[in-house]
Amino acid sequence: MSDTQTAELTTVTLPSLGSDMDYGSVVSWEVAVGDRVERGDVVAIVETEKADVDVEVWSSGIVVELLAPLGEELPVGAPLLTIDRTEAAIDASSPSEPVTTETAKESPAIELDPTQAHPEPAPTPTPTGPPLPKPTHRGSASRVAATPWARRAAEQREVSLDSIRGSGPDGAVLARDLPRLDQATPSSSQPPRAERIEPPLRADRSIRAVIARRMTEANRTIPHYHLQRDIDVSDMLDALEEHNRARPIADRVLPAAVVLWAVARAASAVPALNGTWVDDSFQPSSTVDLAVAISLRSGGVVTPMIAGAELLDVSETMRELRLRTSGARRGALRSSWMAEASITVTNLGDLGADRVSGIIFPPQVALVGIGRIHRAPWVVDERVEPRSVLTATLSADHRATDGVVGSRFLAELDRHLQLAFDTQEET
Amino acid sequence: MTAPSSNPSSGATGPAAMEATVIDAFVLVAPDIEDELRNLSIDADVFATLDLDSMDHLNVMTELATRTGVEIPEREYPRLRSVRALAERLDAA
Repeated sequence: MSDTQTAELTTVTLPSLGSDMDYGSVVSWEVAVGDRVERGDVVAIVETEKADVDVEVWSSGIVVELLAPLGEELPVGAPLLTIDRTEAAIDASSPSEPVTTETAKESPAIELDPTQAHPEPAPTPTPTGPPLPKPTHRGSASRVAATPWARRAAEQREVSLDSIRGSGPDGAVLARDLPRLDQATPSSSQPPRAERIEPPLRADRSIRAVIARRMTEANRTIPHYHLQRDIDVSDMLDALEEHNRARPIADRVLPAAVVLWAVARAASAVPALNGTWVDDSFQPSSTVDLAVAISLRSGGVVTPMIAGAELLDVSETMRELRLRTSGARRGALRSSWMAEASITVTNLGDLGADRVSGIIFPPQVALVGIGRIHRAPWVVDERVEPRSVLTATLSADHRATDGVVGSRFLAELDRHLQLAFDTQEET
Repeated sequence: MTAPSSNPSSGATGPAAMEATVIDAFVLVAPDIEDELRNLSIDADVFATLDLDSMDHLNVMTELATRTGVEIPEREYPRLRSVRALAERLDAA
């Protein structure tokens, strides 16, 4: 601790990286001691088994000390760096630094480049949709298990992952297993003999093992109840097609985004399902922080969150969904996306399942499963018609709510899916 | 798809070049399955075979529109699910 009488030091800790990521390693500092940081700035990149996470800060100030050793595996909550938040310290630093205002939650994921020590402040996303990422995975493809960061770093240094013995779970190659940049040669095969102490043996931390533990725990402790509702989305799809026809492809909206939009509004209308169960009581959330389950093809699921999702319109929801999906695909997430959500949607219907009856991510109390949109016979004005239908399934925690609340939620979801584009036209 | 496409020529333009463009777009959108994409038959339904979802699909179409300047109307999407079908459609535009 500094003994400066006026210093107002804040320690930035390793943030929660999602419900099944307990550990991470700082692989890159995006700031140096003495740098001024603004709320929302990315200060470090943390490697996890699933993805690289850009760690953002939540207060402005001057970087006083970098605490976390590079490459060392740290638990969530471990101190990363300290920031001095006093005005004096901030004024003393170069005031000409670019100040990004209101970048906190909505900035797009920055392009990850291990060689880029000081990325420009993330630009505000344009309304024409986020740009696609630059290709980062060219050539030297390999099936060796490795974290996204290690894979990228290996390609950049022209090191073959096959030649490296990984020290991660199941032998996965981590960044620390790679030869240092200045020693890297294409034929380099000797992992650096780490003089550091290996992390003590703990329980298996492979993605599969962590999911197994978490889901078992959730299933054991949460008394789930499940409610389903078939929803006619034909009118919504017609309106969506109309909406999309007038727009360039980059601005098109997918049904999945409309569903997210409707879930956020339903959760706002039925707040008893929007929050967390902590210490034997329900803690409602003041905003709908909507997590979206995105499956990783390498195995496992990430659930990046859209904060304040009930305030977004359909196009904004689509933009946020797109940022998170492409981030998950590239293995590049932002820490603000990984904060605690208040409700989660899983949209497996996209891959063909009719109904999804899922397990709640604790400490949340509800999970909404969206099934495949399919053509089905539907009774309209006493006649059977082919319509486009999806089945929404609510998994809810019976400690927090009863079925009547869940039913109201599904009715609200249906109602909002019917009027999604009515409200859009007004704005 | 139905067009009897002869073997891809080795020229810098035409179907072969367009197939490469299409594969590149898929790889950009789904870098995590680059191996699978490059090894897949150009007649295979890429989306079903490799579990690409609707967001991946839109991203591929967006990337192809950027690269080729051709925006394929949504109603044609159901027919255009293999590398060959997409390449031929874009090449003909």
